[in-house]
Amino acid sequence: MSKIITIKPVSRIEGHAKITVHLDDKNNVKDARFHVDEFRGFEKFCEGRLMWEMPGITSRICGICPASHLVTSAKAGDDILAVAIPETAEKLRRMLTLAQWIQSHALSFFHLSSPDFLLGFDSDPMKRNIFGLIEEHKEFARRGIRLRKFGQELIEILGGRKIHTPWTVAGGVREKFDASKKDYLLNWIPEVKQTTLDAIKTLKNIQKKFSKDIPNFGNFRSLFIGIVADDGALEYYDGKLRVMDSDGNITADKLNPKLYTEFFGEISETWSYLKFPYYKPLGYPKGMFRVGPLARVNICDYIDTPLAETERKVFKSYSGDAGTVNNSFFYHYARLIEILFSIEKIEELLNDLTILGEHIRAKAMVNREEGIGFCEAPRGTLFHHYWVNSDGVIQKVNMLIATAQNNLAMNRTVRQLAIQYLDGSKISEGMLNRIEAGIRCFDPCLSCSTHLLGKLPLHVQLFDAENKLIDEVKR
Amino acid sequence: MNKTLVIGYGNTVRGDDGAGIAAVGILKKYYPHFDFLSIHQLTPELSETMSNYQSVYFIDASVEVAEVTKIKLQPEISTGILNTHVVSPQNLLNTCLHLYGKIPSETILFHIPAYHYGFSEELSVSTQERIEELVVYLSASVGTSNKKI
Repeated sequence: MSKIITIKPVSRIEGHAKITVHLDDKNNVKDARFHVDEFRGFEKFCEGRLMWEMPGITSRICGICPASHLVTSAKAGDDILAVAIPETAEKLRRMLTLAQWIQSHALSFFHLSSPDFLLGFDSDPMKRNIFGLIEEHKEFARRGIRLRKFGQELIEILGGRKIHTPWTVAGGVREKFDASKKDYLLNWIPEVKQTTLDAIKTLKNIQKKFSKDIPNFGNFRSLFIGIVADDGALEYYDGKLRVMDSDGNITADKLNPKLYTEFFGEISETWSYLKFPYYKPLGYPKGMFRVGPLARVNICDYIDTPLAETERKVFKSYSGDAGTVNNSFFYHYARLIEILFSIEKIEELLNDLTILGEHIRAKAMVNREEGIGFCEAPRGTLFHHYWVNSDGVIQKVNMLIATAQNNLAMNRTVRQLAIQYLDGSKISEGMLNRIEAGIRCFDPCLSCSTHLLGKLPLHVQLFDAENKLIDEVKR
Repeated sequence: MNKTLVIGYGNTVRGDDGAGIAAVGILKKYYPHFDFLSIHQLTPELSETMSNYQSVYFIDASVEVAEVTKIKLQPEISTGILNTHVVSPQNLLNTCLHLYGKIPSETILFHIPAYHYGFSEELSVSTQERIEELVVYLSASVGTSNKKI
């Protein structure tokens, strides 16, 4: 008789989810699924609002990456106004995006994932968290918290508050950069650089400690997709999409992100609110792809900051004979490389006098009835697509969120870990946490990715005491 | 060190959940010598800030109380579940103690009764009245207001 093992809730991720493991009659893993069972509705309730309100509304999708939604929404607004925003505004938006990467990535690595690495997958689950880490590895935790604080404070300095700042708007930004804060931030740079370099060193040591586990953390072939600059450099605000296969071949390049519907399809499964995007040319599910730090560092030709570029070369050496680093565990390494890049770029921007410019906003009326914004959010490429009437009232919204783009790969990771660690039908704490840790490699943000309302699977079944189906509702 | 920090937190677009932030807006007028923070949610970084104060007052909305309540906080042993949405004032105090070796001599959590958590940027009349009670309550608890309430 087949069995289903349920793990719920999945802890230390943003949002609510469950995992089910399906066994056959010989207790072998037949399938494993990552279910997202929270449900929101941003796309629907944005209809009827003014396009000017969209950055403020959509930033509420998430408490972790609101700045990415702000920037992407404002870029969709720029497109509707048909304006090129002032140079100062673009550089300030870039700085906000980088600050967002730092605070989100630091949260993922130091607060959520490092307890597994430093305290051990098999350590007391009640202490395997940031507070347990504080007790056992005080200095590591303190510096991780300070690193995230740097990102948070920069967001606050730019936007007036750490979370849900309404600072970016269609056409630019609302307020100038406060020049009096420049030295304060620059003086902080050496500390956060060192913290990140030390974290990379720690991660490399961890890799030796968990050398038997790591090969099972979502190690498979897939496509990698993200934005790169025109010259192939790591990019985060603008640029063109690149698609790379697991042999390191660039299978598509310089794709216009505004044509994203031509490249990405979406499928709904009955057992999850999270859709399953795929790369259209390869179809579903063969078009599985990964986005976010692992993809970005894999697909770029180089990183234009020295410390991050040095680490990128080490990262690429992990690919061995393959052209790309295919193991999802190395999302963590790529995330730290991106923190390093962000710090170096922020230093560069702080020393750029253009950020102190007075002209920060281009003003215009509605000039197009459709606008698309995109940027590289911490977890991958984020798209906002709005349709408006001539008064700027939102008629329709489509958002393609990074966490959803990793959905097929997350499910594949769960399956791989379940096959490796499930012993019969018993769940050990260590196995449970390894499966969760596999999901945490992707740092999924389920609050963001279940923003949809509409044609989604909702399936309720009612069973009697004999386990017989007596009622069923599908919608 | 003789400083007081007041932290009001909550979601200002979910009705009464924004009571802590609304309270800070009012208290600022009466306690110009205090420092104030209005924030959406508590995050571990706050522990460093807290370590620099003698007194820290948290103000939050709660559906579990019928009147303004005051809880004196002590560092608490952490639980096994953490995401950034469930960092508690006690967790922060614990972090403060372990990372910085010092905690405020007084940390208090004030709960304001809340009734409606729907989508709204306005507080219910009942919660607004409770905020006024908090101002009086705080005056009685900590005194030292420079202005007459």
